[in-house]
Amino acid sequence: VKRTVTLLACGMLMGVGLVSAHITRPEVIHGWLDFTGAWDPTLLLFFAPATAVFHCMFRWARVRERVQRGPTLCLPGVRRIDAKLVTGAALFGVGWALSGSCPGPALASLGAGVPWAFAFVAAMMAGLALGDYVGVLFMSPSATRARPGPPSST
Amino acid sequence: MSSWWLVGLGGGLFGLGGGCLLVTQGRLGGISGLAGGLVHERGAERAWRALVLLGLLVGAAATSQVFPEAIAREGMPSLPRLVGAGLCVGIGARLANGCTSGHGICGVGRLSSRSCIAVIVFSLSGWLVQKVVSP
Repeated sequence: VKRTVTLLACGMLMGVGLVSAHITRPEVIHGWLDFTGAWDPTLLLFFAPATAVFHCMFRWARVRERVQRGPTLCLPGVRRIDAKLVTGAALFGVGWALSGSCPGPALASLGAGVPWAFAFVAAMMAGLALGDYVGVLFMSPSATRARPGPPSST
Repeated sequence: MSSWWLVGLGGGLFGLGGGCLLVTQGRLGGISGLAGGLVHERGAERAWRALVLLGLLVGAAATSQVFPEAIAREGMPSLPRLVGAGLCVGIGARLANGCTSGHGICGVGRLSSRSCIAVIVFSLSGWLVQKVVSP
């Protein structure tokens, strides 16, 4: 029960933050992306404190993990900057600019019950499901061939 | 446009929510990661993500009663464009393993070089698209 309440509360903090910041409005995103025109840094005002707070809590979580007072952190192990990351981010930017929305604001708008958000979130969920099929294209032929054998030590 | 302190406060609250998730559960709360988990995970792994997203929907719904002008109600792109954009966002976030919140807040907050690259790339590609297709 305690865990359920914690998880819900974490989500609620995110939802309250997104909407009270008003970054759910597409013009905030279009303004951010208009670097060579009427550039509007409002989005940075949202991201700076969010990243700063998260950074402090990340350090705290790492200390708690080390002294075995907190959960083991489940963090992405990949460190490589590869074609999959760059292509994915580029494609993400296309959708971001076309709609003026991204997963956070779209889900927050869905919570507020506006019709466009249902269409966007449905397409986004389909995209998240399809993403793994597109991801196969980025597997190197050697990685595919090596699969049946024992894992290499490199 | 809303006042700057409200934007900053909202950012702080969002970071706090993500931070609490990491401190208490050891999990990262990028939105596309949570939403992607609904599709790709099963059982308990899916359930905790659903709870966070449910909290987000409820929190957003409640706050939109206080700030009704924060939600875009009209003037959004046509349905085909919205669906196309949603597909790009979904596929892109899955390939890049994160979205604006996952890379921009959790990733940059962990000083991950992958996330910094992702933020630069999606901001640049968004800028280019906006040069060609007006919002």
